[in-house]
Amino acid sequence: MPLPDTVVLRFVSAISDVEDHLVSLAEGHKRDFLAALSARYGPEEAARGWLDDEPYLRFLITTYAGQFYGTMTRAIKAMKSRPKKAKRRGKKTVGFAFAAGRGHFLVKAFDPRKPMDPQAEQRISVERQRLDQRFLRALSLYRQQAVGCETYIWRSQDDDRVRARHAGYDDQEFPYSRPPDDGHPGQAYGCRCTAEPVWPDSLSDQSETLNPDADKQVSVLLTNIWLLLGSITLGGVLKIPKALSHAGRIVSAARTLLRSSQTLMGRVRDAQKRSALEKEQHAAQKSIEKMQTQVKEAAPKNLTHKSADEFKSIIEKIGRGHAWDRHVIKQKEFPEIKTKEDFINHIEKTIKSKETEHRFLKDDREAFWNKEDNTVIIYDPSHEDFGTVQRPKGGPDRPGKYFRNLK
Amino acid sequence: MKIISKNDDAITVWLSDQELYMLRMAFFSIDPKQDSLSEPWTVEAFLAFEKRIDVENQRHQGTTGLRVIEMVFSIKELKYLYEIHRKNMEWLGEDDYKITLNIPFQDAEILSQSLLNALRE
Repeated sequence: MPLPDTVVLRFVSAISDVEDHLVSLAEGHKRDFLAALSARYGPEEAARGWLDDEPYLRFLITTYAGQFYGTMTRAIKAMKSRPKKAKRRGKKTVGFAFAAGRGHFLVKAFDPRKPMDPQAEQRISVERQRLDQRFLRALSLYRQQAVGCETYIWRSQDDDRVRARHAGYDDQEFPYSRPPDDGHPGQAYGCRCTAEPVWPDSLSDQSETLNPDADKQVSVLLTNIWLLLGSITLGGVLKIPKALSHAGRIVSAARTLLRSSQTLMGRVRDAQKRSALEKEQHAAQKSIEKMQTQVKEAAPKNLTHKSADEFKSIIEKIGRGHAWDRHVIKQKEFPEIKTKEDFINHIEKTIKSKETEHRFLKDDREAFWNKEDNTVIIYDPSHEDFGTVQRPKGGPDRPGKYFRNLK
Repeated sequence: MKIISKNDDAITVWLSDQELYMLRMAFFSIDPKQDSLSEPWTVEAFLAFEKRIDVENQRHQGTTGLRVIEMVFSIKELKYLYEIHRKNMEWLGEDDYKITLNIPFQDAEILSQSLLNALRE
């Protein structure tokens, strides 16, 4: 038995806001980060636009949102593959699905036939909080480097749950460029550790940390090489050891140049990494777009997606069918409606209203319910009248429950 | 529906999934006050009934794996369920019973007859 379409639709609506949520989270983090900078280095330093251009931000958002979409997609696939087993056990066809323990709650929460379980709601918020925390830890690492921090101190949670390896890293200093084997704090699975940046004495961005004297040093080295060649020649001719002192100077200059070229190479590698990250980001973006298109295409089409003529002929049949005789004339459920045309217009208005709730039922039937005018419309393609229109009686809760309990 | 036991206070019955669905939908379609039914259940009382279903349901699934729910009703409750089910059948009629609940009207009539028999026996 296929997964009810409403479950898929609820998933789609539940995951569509993740990227926006991460953007707002990054904004909040930025405010806090700049406030911390301001407290440490003064408001002038903090206002130098450190985080105005953040090429990594889009990458982080797409990566983490992508992970979330991936989890959701797996959840949907798992749900699609599980109902048979569930049925054999005599349980409802949709009730649990996730391969891991968490999924049970997710699916239960999205089961449209049940009210949202408060325990499940809480569990979902925990899942999203985890996503938030992982995203914020990654963002902190990038931002600390952007203002010139080069090392950080590993801080574990200092409780029994900390894994042995991370307990070993606790309070040690690591450079951002060379993380330990299992990554920076927060990157390993389920890691709760944090990176406490070692703030530099003064802030410096990446362009300033590039050695500005590198060109000068290259020219000094070239001069020295010429001098060395000249000295060796001269030394050979005059047999004096003066050339050796030149050689000493050249070696020291070469060492300085080597250091600065290593720094330069490091920057080049970083730039290459960044470009690789951008490529990955592009690929991740593409795959998310593809996934979103697939989900959109897979989303079921309801009555309102039919062509205008077909839609019109269906609601005319419903409005002129037995619903008119039974619910309007005989049972007087719609006292405000006088003619069949009024009734057809009422059906059309109700189905198209944004306030109207919609559900897919068994055997390709569909149900619409508008709370405002308390009308339930059921579309049944197998019936000669194509469905019915009725107004359940009772207090404020009853008709809604009637609608939600329909199978 | 099958009557399992009966005494002066209570009737124990087995309901199928479909029968339970019919009774539940009957409750939500009809307002007991508007329809002047005898001994109407309030929404709170019905929610308590729903909760009892859950408990019984779990217990039963655990032991047999069959979707048959054992319910214990007082005579008054069963009488009320019978009345409300009859009202719902009347409100929906033969066509709408099939369209809305996706259950043949004949099945609703069989349930109605079974409830009546349980009250009479």
